[in-house]
Parts: sequence; C-alpha cells; structure tokens
Amino acid sequence: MVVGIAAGILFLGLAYGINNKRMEASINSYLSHVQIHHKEFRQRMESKYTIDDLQSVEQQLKAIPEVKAYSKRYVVNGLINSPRSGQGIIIKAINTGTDSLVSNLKDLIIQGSFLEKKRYPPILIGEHLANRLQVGVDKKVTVLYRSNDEEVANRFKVAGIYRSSALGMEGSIAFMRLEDFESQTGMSGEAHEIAIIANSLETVSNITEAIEAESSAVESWTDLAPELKLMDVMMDKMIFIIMGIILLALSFGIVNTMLMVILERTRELGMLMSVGMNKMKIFLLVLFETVMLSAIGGPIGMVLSSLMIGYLQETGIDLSSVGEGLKTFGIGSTIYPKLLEGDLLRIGLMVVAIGILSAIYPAIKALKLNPAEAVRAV
Amino acid sequence: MSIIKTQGLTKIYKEHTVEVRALNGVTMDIAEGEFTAIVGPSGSGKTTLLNIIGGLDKPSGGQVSIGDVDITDLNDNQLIDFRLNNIGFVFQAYNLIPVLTARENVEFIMLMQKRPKAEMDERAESLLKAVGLEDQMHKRPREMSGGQQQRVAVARALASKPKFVLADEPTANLDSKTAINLLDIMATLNKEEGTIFIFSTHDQKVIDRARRVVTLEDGKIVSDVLQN
Ligand SMILES: Nc1ncnc2c1ncn2[C@@H]1O[C@H](COP(=O)(O)OP(=O)(O)O)[C@@H](O)[C@H]1O
Ligand SMILES: [Mg+2]
Repeated sequence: MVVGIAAGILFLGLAYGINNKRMEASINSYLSHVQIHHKEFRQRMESKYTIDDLQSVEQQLKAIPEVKAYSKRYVVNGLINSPRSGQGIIIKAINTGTDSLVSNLKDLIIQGSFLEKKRYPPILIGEHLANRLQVGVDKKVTVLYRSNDEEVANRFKVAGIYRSSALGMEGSIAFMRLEDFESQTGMSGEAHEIAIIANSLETVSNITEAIEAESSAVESWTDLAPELKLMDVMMDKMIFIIMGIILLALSFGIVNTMLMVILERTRELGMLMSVGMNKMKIFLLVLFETVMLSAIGGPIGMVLSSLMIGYLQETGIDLSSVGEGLKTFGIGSTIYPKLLEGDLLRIGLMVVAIGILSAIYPAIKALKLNPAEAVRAV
Repeated sequence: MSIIKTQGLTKIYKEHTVEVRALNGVTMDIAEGEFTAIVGPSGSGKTTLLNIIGGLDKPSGGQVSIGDVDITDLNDNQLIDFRLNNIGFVFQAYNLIPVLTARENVEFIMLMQKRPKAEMDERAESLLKAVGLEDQMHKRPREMSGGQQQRVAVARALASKPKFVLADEPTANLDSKTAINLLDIMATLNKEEGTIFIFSTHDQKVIDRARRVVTLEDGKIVSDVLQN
C-alpha cells in the first residue's frame, strides 16, 4: 500500500516534471514570460510594425518590480540560402548583452560560438536547419529579408548551431546581432518585440496587467503559445484520471487488507463481541483501524516519494535511451520530477478520504460476524 | 436454588440439505456456587450448549432462563448488555487483546461497564494477584506463557462480577500440570467469589476437579453426577 502511494506520487511527479520541462524549454529558449509587439505584428509580420512609444514602454518596464529582465529584438521573416538549399525562416535580431537575461540560447549552442562580432555578420541557426541547408560552423549563407518594403540581402557566417527541445524552434528561428540588423536596414532605436522574464511564473499576470500601451499587444506565454497551456491543462486532467485509478486500486488494497485482518482476527472480534462489546464499538474499532492504516501508510508513502522526488529533482532521470522519442514532443531527455505542495496535500486528503470510505465496507462486514461462529473459527 | 435453567434445548444446524442435531433436548439446572464440568466426546454438543447458555447463539427450540430472564427473548443488543454484566467467558485461545497488557485486558471489561477508575484499579490488581500474576501485570499476551494467558483470561472473566463464568475447553492448549493449576485457581475463585463456573473438557484430570459432571453424547445428557 505504501508502495502504491509512493508509485502514484512518483508518477505524478514525473508527469509534472515532463510537462514542466517542456514548458520551461519553450519559455527559456524563445517564448519568455511576456512579449510585447505592435498590435498588427503577430498577424502580419511586417517590419513597419515596430512598437510605438518604445521609450514609455521601457520606462514602465523598469518601474514594475515583478519584471526581472527584458530585452528588445527586431523580428523579420526571411529566406536563408546555402549553396545546397534554401528555407523560409524567422530572423530575430537580438541584443547580445541583454538577451541572455531573458533566454538561455547561449547554453543551447552545441557547435561554434554565440554571436561575436566578426568581419562577416554572424548568424546562429538550429541543428535541424543546419542539416537541411547542409552547412556547418563558419560556412557562409545568404539571408534575404524585407525591411520597410526593401529587399535586404546579406552574406552571413554561421557562428554557431543550437539545439533546442522547444517544439519547431530549431527548424525555423535564426538569430543575428541587433547592431548588424540596424546597420543593414538603417533602422535604429526601434524594436518589434520585447521579451520579458518575470520574477516567477505566478507574477506574470501582474506584469501583463500593469503595462499600458495603446497600440501594443502585451501577451503572456499562455497567449503566445496556447497549445502549451492546453497541453498543461490536458496533462492535469490525465494526471487526475490516472491518480484516480491508482487511488481506486489503493482503496481495493485497503479493503482487502482489512478484510484479511478481519478474517485473521475473527476470533478476537468474536471474543470482543462475546464479552460484551457492542456493535457500534466493533464498527468504530474496525473503522478506526482502517483509517489508521491509511493514515499511517499514506504519509509514509508520501514522505518516501517526496524524498525520492526531492532527490531526483536535483539529479534528474536520464531517459536518453528513450529520449529520441521524447524529443519529438519537445521534451529534453533528462527529466526532473516536480511536485507542488498543494498537490501533495490534495493527494494526502484524497488518501485519507479513500481510507475512510474503504473502511466502511470491512467495518460493516465485521458487524455481521456471528459471535458463536466467530469464536469457533480457528 | 437454581440460577440457570435450560428446558428442552435443541439446536439443529442445516448445511445445504444435511441437518445436524447438535443438541437434542437438553434440560438441566445450575445452582448457586456450582463448579460443573460438561464432558463428552468431540462433536457431542458441548460448545453448542455453552454458546446457547451464554447467549452467543440461539437455540432451535427450548428455553434458557438466567435468574428471572428468559434470554431467548432478548434481542441482539440486549443480549450484548446481558452478557457484559452477567456472564464471564474463557475460550480455548485468543482470549486476550494482543496490544493490551494483562492488567489492561482485565480493566477493559470494567471500562465497558463504566466502572469508576479506582474500583477498576483495585479489582484488576486483586484478581491478577488471585491468579498469581501480580508480577506480570504489565506484560502483553505474547510475552506470557499459554498458562499465564489463560489465567489472565480467568481474571478478565471475573472482572465484571458475573453471575457465572463459561469456559469452553479452557485447558485444551495447556499441558496437564498447567491445566490442573488453572483448575485449582478457578476452584479457589469459585469458593472465594461465589461465582458459578461451567467448563467443558475431555481431559480426565480436569474432570476429576469438578464437583458436578454432566456428560453429553450426541446432543443428549447421558449422565449427571456429583463427585467430591
Ligand atoms: N456452524 C455449524 N454448522 C454446522 N454444524 C455444526 C456447526 N457447529 C457445530 N456443528 C456440529 O454440531 C455438532 C456439535 O458440535 P460442538 O457443539 O462443537 O461439539 P463439541 O464442542 O462437543 O465438540 C457437531 O456435529 C458439529 O459438527
Ligand atoms: Mg467444542
């Protein structure tokens, strides 16, 4: 029974861990917590839709305590060409100083380096795209994009290749230096996108509510990637269905254990009835014992599994053997199980409730014992 | 004068289509102060008779009256109360609650009777002393020998100040020396407390200690003798 609870909680932790990992991968690499764009920008990614009143927005951001960091970007649609192949991409021109405060892109680089200033403007592409273009580090590529109704074509050198478990990112997003973008286009001091990281996930909505910018859209990660949120909600439901099944099995376990106990102790219960213990007391006795069983088993299982999760949270579970499959779901191969305190409490309450419910049947069963039969049973 | 009277007791167990007549017209009286053995071969109906006299089981026919109460008229809850206040039980085994000490096992009965604490303490101590367990009061059943456990059971049976004690094969799991020791304790308590003891057995040495011997065969009394 303890094992059952521990397994259930561990499973829950693992599921949360997977979910969290996927969410974190997306948030850290490209989504961030909150993004600000011009209202039109997300529909039509045209370079004329830069953020209005950028200075006022920035001032607001500096004044909001929940904002941990922010970074400005230019974002355009473009075409990348290698001698072998071409591909439509989104190009993000980032401030190499501030962007690492809102994104972990730097840590995702598997070959080459970050966007250091070189003779040729450097570009950072995903592994997937690199394979498609059949280019490696230090190879040249041509990038074509439109800026204010002008075609801009430039030669770039692939400075680095990154790998990300965020869904679709590797194949479609390339990064360049903000300064290079400004010198190529003649734009200056503007931005298409501001990426913001909050102090914590819980304070995200404080930020979105605090910013006032009429012509801009302030969107949290859940607005930006509703599918992530949806998967989160679905995961929650799935988890509870599976937890329900586990708890059901658990309650069968409790009922079974208690029926065995009653069977084993038929003589003792029969003796108690014979010597004058009334039915109400027998009922309460069995009820109490069953509740105790779950009240003791429950916490032990919970403590056991939280310790285990606590440990695994540090070290992670390396699933790289099955990791290839997980990667396609946007999940890294090392899972860090995670559990919220609220869930632990909820499970605890559920176990106790199940314990009480499962106690009733054995207790009624005990009531039906006939003392004469019970004292004869050996 | 007789305290317990049975009148034409029958008990028929039905198993599927087979009927077993465990008791077949048992009429007997038990008077104040008796120390009586119910004897007979296995299956002769000893347990059935004691269970019916003790109100644990209902007869198929006949009556049992204790004092002026016909217990066959009582409902389940009344019977439980009646047992608690009038009858002490000693079974062959599993008499004690394993998690309680000897003393707590004895007090437990008085607790159910809602006796005052001081009286409980006093009576538990004097009974455990009477059965020779004054040094073992704080031991749990599994730390005691079989004979000691049965002595605790006898003390427990007397704790409620019952009119009589029913003991179904109380010595069946004991060696004969321990069995006789238990019987001597029971006989002493029978004299000192004036409590009726009715016990079943098929051990001749135990039978020898009884003052009255009622012999059952196939659910009928075949002999009823007084001995010294
Ligand atoms: N619950 C029962 N169902 C059917 N037959 C029973 C039951 N209890 C006892 N008997 C039968 O009743 C008879 C008397 O049993 P019992 O009173 O236990 O005898 P004793 O105690 O003298 O050995 C036996 O034949 C026994 O098999
Ligand atoms: Mg018997």
